[in-house]
Amino acid sequence: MPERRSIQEMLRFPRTLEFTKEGARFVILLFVIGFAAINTGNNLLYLIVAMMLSLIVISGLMSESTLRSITVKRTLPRNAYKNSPVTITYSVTNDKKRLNSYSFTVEEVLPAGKAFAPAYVLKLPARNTFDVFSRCEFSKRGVFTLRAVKLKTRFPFGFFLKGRRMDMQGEIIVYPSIIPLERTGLFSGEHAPGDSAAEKGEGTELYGIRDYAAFEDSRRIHWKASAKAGRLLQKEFERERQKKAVVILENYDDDDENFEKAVDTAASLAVRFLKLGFKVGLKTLTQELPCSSGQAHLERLLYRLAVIGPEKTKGRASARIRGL
Amino acid sequence: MKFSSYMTVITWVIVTIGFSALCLVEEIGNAFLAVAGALTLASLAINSKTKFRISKTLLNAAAILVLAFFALDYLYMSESIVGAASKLLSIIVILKIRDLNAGKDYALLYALVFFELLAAAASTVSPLFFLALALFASSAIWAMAILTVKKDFEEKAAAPGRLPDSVFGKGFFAATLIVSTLSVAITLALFLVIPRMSAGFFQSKSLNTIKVSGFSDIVDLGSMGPIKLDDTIVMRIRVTGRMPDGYAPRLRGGVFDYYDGARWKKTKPEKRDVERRGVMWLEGDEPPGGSSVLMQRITLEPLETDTIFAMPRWTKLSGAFGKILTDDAGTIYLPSIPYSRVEYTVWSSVTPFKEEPDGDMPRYLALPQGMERVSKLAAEITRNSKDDSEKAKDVEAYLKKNYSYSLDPGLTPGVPPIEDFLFNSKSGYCEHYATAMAMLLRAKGVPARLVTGFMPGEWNAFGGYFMVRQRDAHAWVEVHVKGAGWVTFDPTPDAGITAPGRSSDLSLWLDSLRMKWTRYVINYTFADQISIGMGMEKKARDLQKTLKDAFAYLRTKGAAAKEKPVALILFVSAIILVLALAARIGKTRPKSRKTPEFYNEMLRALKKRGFRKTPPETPLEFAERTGLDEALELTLIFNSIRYGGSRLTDETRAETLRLLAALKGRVKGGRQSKG
Repeated sequence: MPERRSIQEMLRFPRTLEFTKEGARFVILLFVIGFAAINTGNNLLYLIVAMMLSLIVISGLMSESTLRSITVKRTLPRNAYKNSPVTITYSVTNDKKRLNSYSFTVEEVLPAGKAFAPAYVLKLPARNTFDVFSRCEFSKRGVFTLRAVKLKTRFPFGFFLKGRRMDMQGEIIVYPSIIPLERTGLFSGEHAPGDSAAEKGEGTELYGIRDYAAFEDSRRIHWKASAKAGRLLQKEFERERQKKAVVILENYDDDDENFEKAVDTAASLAVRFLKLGFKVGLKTLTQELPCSSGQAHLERLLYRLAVIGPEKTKGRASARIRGL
Repeated sequence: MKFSSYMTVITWVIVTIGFSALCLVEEIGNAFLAVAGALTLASLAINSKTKFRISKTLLNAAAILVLAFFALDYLYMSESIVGAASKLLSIIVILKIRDLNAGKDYALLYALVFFELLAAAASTVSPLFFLALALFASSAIWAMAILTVKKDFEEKAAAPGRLPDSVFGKGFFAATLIVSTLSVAITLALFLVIPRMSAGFFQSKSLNTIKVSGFSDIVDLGSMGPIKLDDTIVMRIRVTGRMPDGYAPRLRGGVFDYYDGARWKKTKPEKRDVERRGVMWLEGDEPPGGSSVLMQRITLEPLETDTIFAMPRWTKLSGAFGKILTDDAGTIYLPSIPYSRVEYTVWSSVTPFKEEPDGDMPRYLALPQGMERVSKLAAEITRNSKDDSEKAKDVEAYLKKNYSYSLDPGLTPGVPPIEDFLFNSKSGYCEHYATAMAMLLRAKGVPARLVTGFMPGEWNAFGGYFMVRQRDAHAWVEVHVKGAGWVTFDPTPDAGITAPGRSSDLSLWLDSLRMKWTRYVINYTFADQISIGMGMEKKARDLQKTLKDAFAYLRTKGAAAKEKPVALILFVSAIILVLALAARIGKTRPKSRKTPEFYNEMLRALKKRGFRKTPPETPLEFAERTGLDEALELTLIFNSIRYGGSRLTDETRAETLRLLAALKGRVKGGRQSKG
């Protein structure tokens, strides 16, 4: 998908540069020696100043050589749950023909105050690709937008931290936390909503055994039981019944803790019942998602819960499940 | 190579460079260097085998001792801040070598070595300094890169452990060498362009001066003898201009008019300022047209005199001085003794052209008492001479022929030295010859004076200059000849003028290197920068003109140009070709990540409905904006494929088809309902 670059992006300087503590000391020393050279007119001090300046130039060239022609392919985790660590994989390729790249990190460009652990590359030989990983954890549910990664290096002298931004859009949907439902009292594990006495029918589950009558389907004869009883017995099956449940989230405007707890509970119920083979739907104060099953539906449902916010009406936020 | 091995090698190299730099500090004596060198080597050798950390108490005690030593050294021994600080640094380096454990210990040691280089820079003018600096830069690049990688690895790697040995292979070493060479080249380029200015809040560095004799207001006869054996170079001189055949250039220093029988004096030592015009100091009239003028570019070592030297009859002088002084005999003086090398250019007329007024002559005719025998000899020598010039020539020839040159004339104590020389020993060196000639001429009423200075010394073919040494110090006579002015005569036999022996080619080459170093590094000034700038501007103009001619030639197919600039056209074409090839080779195709077709189809469908995705919008933001469930679900699938590394399975493909169909249906419906 071709994406046009905004003017802001086009005007942005392609590299960022920050002084490290060592770099700041080096530059101060450079100024002091420069001052001494001016005062004394001593050309050997000028020579030292020139050497120090050349180290800054060399530092720029070598760090550029490290960051240049590096491509990054980011693979985001398929699912991320609130407060659970996930791993972002970066496939880092050095497209240079001969020059190796040394000691750099791949970091997400995030809003102030947020940071993921950087992925570190010690040495990336020319024409090679390495996978490196960054572990991160989200404390809030929602859609977490990633807009760019930054390659950063202090190589070669540790004087400057040079960065190269690579715009790279990505989104992680952070689902609500999945909590053990037993603690909530909403689900015992033995009785699920909608459970009732089984009925005879054309399903696949065994209902019972009875005598075989003539002209009935011989494929239903239970040979083992017939041998034991000394007469022909046939299997009877349960009626195939659609198990359905709706997660009800009353997303009233409550305090954050209660609200988040309700959303986490709703997500946990949805996950549990889908795993139990139910078709699960979602009903909130303003939205309704019809009952369905499968991975895609689970993701759809969790997405809804990831982005849901409180309604304007004040009340106690809660979640429960209702069988159909 | 292992990290520890790398660090050991680099540390040895860097510490050795630091110690070499310390050897260049003039204020440090050989005894201290020998002890410090031995201790440094011992510390390095022990540290490379066993590593131990010095206890804090021991370190603190050592620090107090070292500081006390520094104070004592500065106050009573070196009496020089550079000398004392250099010694202090060398001791700290020795102590630090015994305490190398973490990366920051190594970094601190290298910083100390850098300060040793700084100390050397403040003290020396030796070209070896550049060698030490270049080697230090190369080693420091190597060391700092390794230390930075190690630090990063320890701080940022997911599982740090031990740094893999394979990181710093031969390739890394080769790359460091290339970068180091580049660093030296950049250093030199920057050195040339950094603007030179001297605010002068502090005194510039002072060098040890060379003791010379013969250039003060009073000169004892015989004082030049000992320095005639000294090989120390005192100046280097590059001469431009045509020298007539038989012309013997001499660098004039002191001029003396009064001889009391044992010493020469200046009766008019008063100095006056020389007129300055722009960057030039002008003395007297210009020589008449057609006179040969010699331009001398002189680099003078720091001598213990304020006199600076030039060939006789100087008329112009240029140099970075605030003031120039002269006396009535034309000697040039600086306002004070320069404790550093000085460089200046001076122009002198080869032929005498200025007569002295008669009223000034009596002081050049004065004789000390008891010169009767000398007068008698003078009359005998000049009995056939017609004029003053002939008298001077005859006396010069007589002395050259009848007296022998010796640095140990064995003069009799108690006998006036000139009488002893002329009538008893009949051997002596330049001062005896020159004094004898002056006295003989004065006895015959010819004005004469003694001049001290230097002969040009040894020619250095590698550098195209004369190397003037202490042993080239000389004394000769100036005779005032009517119609010509002061004319130079030298009665010393050739044996006393010609330099004994010749330097080896290697030493001449090294000296030319030193000369270049002094000229282009030590004495590099703002004026040189202007000169280089102007030269480059001229070259750029020439290039511009050549290019214009070349393009005119190409445009008019040769009609507009007189000559075919084939070489230039070929050169420019070759550069363009190389650049084009380099650009092509270096270009890497950006790897595109294909957007799944179902998502493009969705975007097209939504576009029809009036929803257009803006660049800063993320896919989910856009899907939310549409308010369409199908768009949202398609985007969730898209995201999992695009960013989550999922593949499009048959199941998801069927799902996307279903969702697309539903979306398109809604789009149509929407449009119909809109219509």
